[in-house]
Amino acid sequence: MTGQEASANPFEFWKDMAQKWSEGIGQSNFGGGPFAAGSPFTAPSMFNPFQQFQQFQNANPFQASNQAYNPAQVWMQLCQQSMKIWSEFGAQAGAGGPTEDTFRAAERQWMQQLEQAAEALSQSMATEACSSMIGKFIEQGLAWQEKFAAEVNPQIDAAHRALNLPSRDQMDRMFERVIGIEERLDDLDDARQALKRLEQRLDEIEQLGREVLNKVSVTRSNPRRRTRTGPAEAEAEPQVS
Amino acid sequence: MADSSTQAQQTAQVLQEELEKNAKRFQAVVDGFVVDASDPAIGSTPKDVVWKRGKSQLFRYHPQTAKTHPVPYLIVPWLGISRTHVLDLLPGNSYIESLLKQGYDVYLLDWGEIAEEDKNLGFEDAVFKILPRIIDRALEISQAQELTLNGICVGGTIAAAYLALEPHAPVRNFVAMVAPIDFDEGGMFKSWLDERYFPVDMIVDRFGGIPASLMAAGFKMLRPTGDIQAKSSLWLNLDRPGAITSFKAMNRWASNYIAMPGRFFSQLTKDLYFNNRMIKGQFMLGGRKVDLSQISCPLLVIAARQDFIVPPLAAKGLMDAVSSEDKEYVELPGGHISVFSGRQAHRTLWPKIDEWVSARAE
Repeated sequence: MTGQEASANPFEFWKDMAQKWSEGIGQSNFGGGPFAAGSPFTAPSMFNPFQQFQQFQNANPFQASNQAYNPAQVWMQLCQQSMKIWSEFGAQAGAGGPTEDTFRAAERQWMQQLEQAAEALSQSMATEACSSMIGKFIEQGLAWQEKFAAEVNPQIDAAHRALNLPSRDQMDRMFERVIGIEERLDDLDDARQALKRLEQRLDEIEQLGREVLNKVSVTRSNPRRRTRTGPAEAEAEPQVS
Repeated sequence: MADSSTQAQQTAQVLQEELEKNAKRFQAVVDGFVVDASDPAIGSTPKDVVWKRGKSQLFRYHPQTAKTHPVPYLIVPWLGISRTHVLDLLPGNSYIESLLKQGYDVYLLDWGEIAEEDKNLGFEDAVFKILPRIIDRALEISQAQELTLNGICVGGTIAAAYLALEPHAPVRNFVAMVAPIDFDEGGMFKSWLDERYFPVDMIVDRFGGIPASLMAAGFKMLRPTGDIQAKSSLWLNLDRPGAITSFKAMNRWASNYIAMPGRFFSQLTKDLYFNNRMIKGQFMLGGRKVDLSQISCPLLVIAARQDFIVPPLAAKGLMDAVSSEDKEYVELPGGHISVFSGRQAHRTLWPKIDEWVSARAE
């Protein structure tokens, strides 16, 4: 199998899957619901996974990136390597009969092989080709979901209304308002804490002021102390203007 | 003839022993997963909620030593992606418990279970609203002047942005653990989050963020063989005491993904993965430029050698970007999670953090 064929095969498989999936959705008929024949959902102009898949193939990201992304080849190499290692291992073990070491070595071999497989897959996935594939798959999944939601949501909303239940949008809006109120309360709480800290600071300043005044009044009521302590200590006394 | 008979006997004996060994393993699996199918309690170290805003909570863990370090230790984990339980997985295998046993006064920010209604939560909220408040609260409770800030994964990116914008914040030390800073070295995610192909706006518009299911798919794709490797490793280590309990705890955590808010994801993808703006000094938050050279506090950068989520070079980028004179880069064995939660963390990371932080505590 050449590299080109190997890379084409998974695409063929995916294409078949996508086609069957698309046909399945198209053929489904939920009592004249969104999937009924002739509904805009199944019309060719609307979303069609197979059509999108073909568009995806036409704008092949692997070609654009000039990288040959070949998942089949990666797996093939891993399997070939694995078979080679285990057949060599079996031949060695078979030569002198298995010992306990043989089993422990087999266990180590298995763990190493898993590590090698992880490494090989990592290398295969750390490519631009893989990134573009992931991007495309997410885009397609979201596009499909969006079409599906656009088609189904009005019916769910209608059912909710009939049952007198709030719709998803109404619930979202309510949660947003609750979060808004919660944030305001938190802000108020922060402001209250800040005021409390300010109040504590003011109390400290007031206390300090009282202490200074007390010292000043003691100094004034005892003027002889100033002369007795001498000029150096007198200068150290707090000065209040 | 006698030789071949002896060899046949030996072979039969070895096969019998191997069968017995595997039968015991099988029995252990039945006992651990069928007879007792319950999961162990994770994140069970006693703690109190000391601050709450929206879904974000600040936990303070109960001290486990008579005397605690004077500088509290605040952990800022990743936003979205997964729960923080892995930081406190099981008694005896818990990063937080190890810090408590070393005498630290530990605080942990929990961003909560992010959902669609949190779509507007972004870097600005984290940097300007949440971090300053939890730092104030932690200092107030601990009656301390400064603390050690430990950012993990994108929590480290958030913490770096905060310190760059608030260089005079009361932070004595900064420990950036597996924190992506140089996004050009961002490994597989850098490759997948390619500006030309990745429909970030479509995803955010549709879901209001990255839903948990897509997050799980992305992380599983990073290591497609991860599950089979974990299960193979368990099978081979079943005779180790506590192997099943550890596996169940880690498995429970690893299968519980949570969403990432739309605004935060959009900034992370467009500004950081697409354009690597933080390291280039072009990342703008609230009209201000995040200039990493404003960070001047002592810095410890920890990277994990086998980390394929934040490769070592992505974390190491912070070293050259800051102006700190006291800085150290450590590359430890392990992966993104196992570096702080694996069996080897007892010998590698935990003692290193204690040695580095306690040397700068006084």
